[in-house]
Amino acid sequence: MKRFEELTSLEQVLLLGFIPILGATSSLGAALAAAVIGVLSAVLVWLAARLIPASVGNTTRWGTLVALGIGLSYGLSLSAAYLVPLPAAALVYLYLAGATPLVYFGAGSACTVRQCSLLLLRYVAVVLAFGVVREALGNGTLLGVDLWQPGVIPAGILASGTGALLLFAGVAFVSHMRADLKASRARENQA
Amino acid sequence: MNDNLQLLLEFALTRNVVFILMFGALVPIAADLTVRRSLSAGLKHGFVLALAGVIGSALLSLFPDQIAFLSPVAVMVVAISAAAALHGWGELGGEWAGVPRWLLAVAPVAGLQLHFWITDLSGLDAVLAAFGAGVGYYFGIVMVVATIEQIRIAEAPLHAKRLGTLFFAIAIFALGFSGFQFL
Repeated sequence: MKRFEELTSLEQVLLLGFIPILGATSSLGAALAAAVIGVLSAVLVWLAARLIPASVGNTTRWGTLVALGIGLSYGLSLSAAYLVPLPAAALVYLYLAGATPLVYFGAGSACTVRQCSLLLLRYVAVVLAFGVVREALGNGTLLGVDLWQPGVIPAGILASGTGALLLFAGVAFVSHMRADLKASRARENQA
Repeated sequence: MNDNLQLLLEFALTRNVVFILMFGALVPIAADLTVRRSLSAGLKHGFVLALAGVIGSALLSLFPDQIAFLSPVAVMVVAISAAAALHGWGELGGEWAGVPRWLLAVAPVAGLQLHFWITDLSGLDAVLAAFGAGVGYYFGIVMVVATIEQIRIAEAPLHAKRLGTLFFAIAIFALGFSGFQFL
C-alpha cells in the first residue's frame, strides 16, 4: 500500500472517514447526520488545536483533542437522533465519528486550510452519495419514501455492513482503473 | 453449544471487530507491518482491546441509570488509555496523515465498549465477549497484513494492486465470517 501522501484524494477520504462512511450511510438521514457531525467535529477540533499552546506537550495536546472530538461527536449524535430518523445500528457509528482520523486531520501537521476544506467537502459528497445509493438500492426508499414499483425487490445486501464494504471497494477500484486508463492513454498519445 | 463458548466465538467471528462491526480503519495500522511482525503486534493489539473491553464494561456498569448518558466519558478515558498503552508498548509510533498513529487504535477500543453499552453486555458475558473480540482482532490484523503482502507481490495491473482490491478481500472475509452458525 502507498504512503498517505501518495494516495488519490478519494482514497484519502475513504480511509480517513472509514467508520461513518461504512457504518452510518445505510439511510440518507443517517448519512446527512454523519456529514454534519463529521464536519462540525473536524472544524471545532481544528479551532481547539489552534488554541492549545505547544508548551503543553504532544501527548496532552492530542489526548485533549481526542477527548473533545469524541465528546463532540457523541453530543451531536444525541441531538441528531431527535432531528432525523436514524437506524439504531447507525447510532454507534455516529458516536464514533469523533474517533475517526478525519476529525483530527486539520489539527495535524500535514494539512493547510485549503486542503482541509477540500477534504471535508469531498467527505460530505462521498457520505451523501453512499447514503443515496445504499438507501435507494438497499431499502428501495429515499428519506423513507418508497422509490420502486411494488414487487421490485431491493438489493438488501447494500443496506448491510458487508454491502457497504463492497460498495466502498467498488468505488475505490473503479476510480483507480479510470486513473490508470487515463495515464496509459496519455502515455500512448505522447509516444 | 455452551452459551459462554458461543459468546466467545461470536465475538471472534460473527461479530468480529474488524470484518463485521468495522470499528476502525485497520488498513493504516496493517500497512506498516509485515506478516511475521503482525503475529506479535497483533497479540499486543488483541490483548489491549480485550483488557480495555473488560475494564470499560466494568466502568460502564458503575453509572446509575439517571446518569447513563455520561457513560461515554468512561469509554473515552479507557480508549485513550488503551491507545497510550499500545504506544508505550512500542506499537503505533510516528504519524499517519499528520496525526499520531496511536489515534488509530482509539476507534476499535471505543467502538467495542460502545457496542457493549448499547447491547447491554456486562459481567461475565462482557469478559468473554471482550476476549473473543481480542481473538477476532488478532485474526483481523494478521489476515489484513497477509492480504496486503499478497497484493503487493501479485502479478496484476497497477489499479488492481491498490485499496479497492484490499477492500474487496475484506468484504469477502466479512461474508465468510458472517456465515458462521453456532448451534
